[in-house]
Amino acid sequence: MILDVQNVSLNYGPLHVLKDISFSLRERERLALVGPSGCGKSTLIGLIAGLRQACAGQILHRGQRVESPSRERVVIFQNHALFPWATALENVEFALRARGRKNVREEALHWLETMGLTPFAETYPKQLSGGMAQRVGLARALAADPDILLLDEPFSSLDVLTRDRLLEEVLPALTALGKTLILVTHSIDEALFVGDRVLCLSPRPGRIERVLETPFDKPRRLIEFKRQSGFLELEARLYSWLRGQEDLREPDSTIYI
Amino acid sequence: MNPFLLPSPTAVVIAFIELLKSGELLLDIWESSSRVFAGFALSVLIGTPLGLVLALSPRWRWSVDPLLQFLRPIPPIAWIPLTILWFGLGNGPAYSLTMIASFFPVVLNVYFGVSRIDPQHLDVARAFGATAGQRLREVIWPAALPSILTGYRIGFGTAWMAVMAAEMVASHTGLGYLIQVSQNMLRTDRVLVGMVCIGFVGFLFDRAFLKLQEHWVRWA
Ligand SMILES: Nc1ncnc2c1ncn2[C@@H]1O[C@H](COP(=O)(O)OP(=O)(O)O)[C@@H](O)[C@H]1O
Ligand SMILES: [Mg+2]
Repeated sequence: MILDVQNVSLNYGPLHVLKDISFSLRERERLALVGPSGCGKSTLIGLIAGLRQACAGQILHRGQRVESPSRERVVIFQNHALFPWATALENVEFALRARGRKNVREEALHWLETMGLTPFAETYPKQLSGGMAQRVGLARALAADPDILLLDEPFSSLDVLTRDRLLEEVLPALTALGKTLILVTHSIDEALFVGDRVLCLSPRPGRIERVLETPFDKPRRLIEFKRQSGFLELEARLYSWLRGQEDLREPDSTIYI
Repeated sequence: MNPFLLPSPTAVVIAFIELLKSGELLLDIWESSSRVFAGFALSVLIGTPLGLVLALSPRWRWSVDPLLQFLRPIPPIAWIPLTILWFGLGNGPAYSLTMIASFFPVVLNVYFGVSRIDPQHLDVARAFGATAGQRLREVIWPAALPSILTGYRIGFGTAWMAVMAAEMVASHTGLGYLIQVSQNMLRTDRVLVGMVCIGFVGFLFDRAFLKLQEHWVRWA
């Protein structure tokens, strides 16, 4: 197991955000994490990244306890968190220099090329479209050469066409690199398309409610993926589960402990 | 109108040409400018690291900030008597006044810029394994640079005003002295020449800072 999350709980004051979360990741596995907003997905990603500490339980990364951030577990955020003062190229170069590399320009250009960004090397983030910025974020994360990629809703703010294209182009690249990854998403087809398994997190407190295996082939194109038999049924199951979670949230003042 | 109270534009132009020809005016502009640069450079050298430390260390903030906030309302002119006692007439009081005047805008804007950095950018830097030096050079500094340069620009402007006060009281050269001595000699035309030069040169410096700022923070 590359990652072991063991009985992890976290409170913010009286609010139980995560309760007794346990799961493991296999080498090269892709795990999708879904759940209604506010259920603690980002919090969990932060814990795995080492940006925060759990109140109870522990997280092991290749047997080592996660206690601080490390470039072996890089997060890609929804808002891409690119450095606005640096060009696309300089953003990628930063990740390489942080790894202790010298003469980073060539290598940075290579990562930009992987993401189809060569013409945008000298562009500043604010001049990039959402999809392009997210590509730079991915290039920067890949340049850090992490063991596990943590993607916290990186595609949520993109329009569907941009997202589909990005998914179709990025996933094969990630497969080729053999990356293990966790993808947080609201989108059911995204979760099923990317995930070997889908982990469903219920809110207040965040608990793993169920784990779905996705027994599908992984064709390159999303549209072909969705045509497979069984897809609609699994999609419907996930959808009604998510809707059920939404309903739980109605009495908004209640905190389930 | 009485030409002593408000001389005609022609009289001012004539006085201007006179002062320019004698070389006096350019010397005064040079003297005032170099004093401002000296005090301003001191402020930048001391104020920039201090602003950084204040923003990054709660302990320093806790102990130094009250002192800063206590000194800040004291106007630069109020320091003149002390600085004359300490340094005598001449450049000493001018250097200290320009420094005092630019110090607070510099420190406070550096502090402001650094404390406003998006914590997510610091998380990213930490997660990528950047060393402390790298975080300072490649994240904190560029992120805060717009505020820092604004602080420098404002600080230079306040130093430019302060040098005039210092020269009017404690010096024998400079545009401030020109105004002071011309008033004593009832040369209102020269007073006006001095004022116009203070305004114009100050404006030019400010423009130069603005250009530098635009050049260094193209990304914003
Ligand atoms: N720093 C914090 N302090 C207090 N509460 C927080 C903090 N961060 C998140 N929360 C709360 O924890 C819950 C989970 O947040 P989050 O992990 O961002 O959810 P998700 O990513 O699933 O939308 C939310 O109810 C949120 O309000
Ligand atoms: Mg979130």
